[in-house]
Amino acid sequence: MTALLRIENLTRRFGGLTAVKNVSFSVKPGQLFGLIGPNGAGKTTLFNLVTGVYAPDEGAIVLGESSIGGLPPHRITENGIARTFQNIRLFASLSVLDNVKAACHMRQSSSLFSGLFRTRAFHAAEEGIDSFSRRLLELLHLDGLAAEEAANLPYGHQRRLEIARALATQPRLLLLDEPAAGMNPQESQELMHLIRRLRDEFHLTILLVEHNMKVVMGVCERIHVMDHGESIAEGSPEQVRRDPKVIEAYLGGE
Amino acid sequence: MKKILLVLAVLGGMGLLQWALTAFLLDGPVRQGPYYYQILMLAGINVILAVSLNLTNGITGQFSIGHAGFFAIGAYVAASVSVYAGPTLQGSLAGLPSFAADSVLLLVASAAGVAAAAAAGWLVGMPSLRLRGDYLAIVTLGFGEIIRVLILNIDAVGGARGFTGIPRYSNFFWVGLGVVAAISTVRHIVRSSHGRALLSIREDEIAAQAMGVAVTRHKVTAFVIGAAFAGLAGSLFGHFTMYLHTNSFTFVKSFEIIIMIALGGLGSLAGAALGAVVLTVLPELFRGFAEYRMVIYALALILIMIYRPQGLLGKGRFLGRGKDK
Ligand SMILES: Nc1ncnc2c1ncn2[C@@H]1O[C@H](COP(=O)(O)OP(=O)(O)OP(=O)(O)O)[C@@H](O)[C@H]1O
Ligand SMILES: [Mg+2]
Repeated sequence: MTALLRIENLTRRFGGLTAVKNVSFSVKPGQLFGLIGPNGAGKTTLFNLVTGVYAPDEGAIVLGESSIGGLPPHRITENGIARTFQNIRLFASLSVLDNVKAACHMRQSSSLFSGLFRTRAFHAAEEGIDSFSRRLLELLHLDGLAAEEAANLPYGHQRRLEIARALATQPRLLLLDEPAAGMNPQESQELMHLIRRLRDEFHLTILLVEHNMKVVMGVCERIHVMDHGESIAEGSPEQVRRDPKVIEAYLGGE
Repeated sequence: MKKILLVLAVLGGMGLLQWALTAFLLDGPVRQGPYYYQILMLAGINVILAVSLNLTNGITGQFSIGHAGFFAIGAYVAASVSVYAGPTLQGSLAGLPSFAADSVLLLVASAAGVAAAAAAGWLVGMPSLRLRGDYLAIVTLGFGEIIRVLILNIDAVGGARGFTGIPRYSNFFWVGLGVVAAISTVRHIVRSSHGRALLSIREDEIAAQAMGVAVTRHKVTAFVIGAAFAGLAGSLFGHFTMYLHTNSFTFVKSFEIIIMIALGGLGSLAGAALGAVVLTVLPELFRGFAEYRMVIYALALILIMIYRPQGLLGKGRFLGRGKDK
């Protein structure tokens, strides 16, 4: 099967520091793919490259058939990639429901004109957005909190709202940046179920960055390991767990 | 059907009020009408200005401080149309009763004022809204001053003497209609998918982009709509005062509009309207302190930020919930 996402010799520098250095891997459609590595390995930078926050210095990013490297972020989202943020970036003073609804804008909005004159198309679109958003909140067990201000949610709930919001853009590929961070063991257990369920029900491909090894090893079918910006290993959870280079990266000192 | 009835009711009600005003209160060939009528009109014009600036500064979270520039463009362009093209147009409308002919002329002039202000909004907004940060504030500040100095040097619109001979077409009816149009436009935008997109930009630009919001396009659209309404306010203003001078369009005016929305509560529509009314009426009550206006404004702004950062009616904060990258 051809890959959904291909990363080819990707490089990104910040001044003298090479945060991502000649990284290549590919993710198959429907795969649960893990990206791990010690702090500062370049995982979030790689996400930022894939989602257009930064443009690559070298290399290519290919989604399906089209090259998306260097496109502006909203174009990349339009192409079917959605993400969550490691340092939560919700629309803090909007309601939980409006956070999700805002992310529906790209695919489901009626025109500005029909909104100004409250046409039938406007009402139809708004109803569609409302019911779709509420379904997503239900799926993430946030439906009781729809009217709550996003900033007031507990940490774990905020992470789930980030996922609901990302799903609202109707992606093919979902990038999760440390979704289990700050979750208690029970929450992260539920998260694992959720990730599998999302893949199956929404036919999603998921790229997961996570430090919680229980979650990574429990969920991912294939794992790519980075250290200091470079790829150091790739394989099944079993292979990666035994790889001496990986053990060295995690256990070895400076 | 219900919508059409509502529109008719608003038009009818305002028409009736206008008739009552002219019949009972404004008898005789008054220049600007009695004092309170004048204040009412200025309050209406300020409401249009505040509500439209709120779309950019309150809803989208960008900081524009040159609203008076668009106000000036609308005023001068519309007035020029009336003064220079008016007589010709008037000739072709000779068959109509005078109030109908005046209304047509006002609409034509305002259309030109609105279009010019919107075009200027696009020219200013397009380059400066692409960039994140405070570029818009700097560019709009410069823009407002450039427009003022430019007008000051155009002899056809009076230059430093001021622009005289503008016919008095605007009245309570048209200003009231402008207020209704501005408020309902902004309200409908805010309570729609587009409004949520604008709010998401205010909340977190990077996240908004990642959720597929075309950030620059939305910012520019909001800015241009705001500029267009400032142009409308200007058109109505010139055709009410019958005289324009660049002193009405200095940085102080832009600052005044910002205070109006800060006082009412940034992002709150009712707050912007309330702030505009309060800031039109209060200075009139304290005319003796006119020279201390700027000092009082600055103090008011500081006090608002300390004691009620969300404004009188607002929920959000004056300077937003800034987030670093
Ligand atoms: N915008 C930036 N400017 C300069 N340096 C940056 C920038 N973004 C990331 N870096 C640097 O790039 C390196 C990789 O950072 P990155 O955030 O991608 O790591 P990570 O693998 O996500 O780490 P963590 O597990 O701690 O989240 C770090 O040394 C970081 O300081
Ligand atoms: Mg990271």
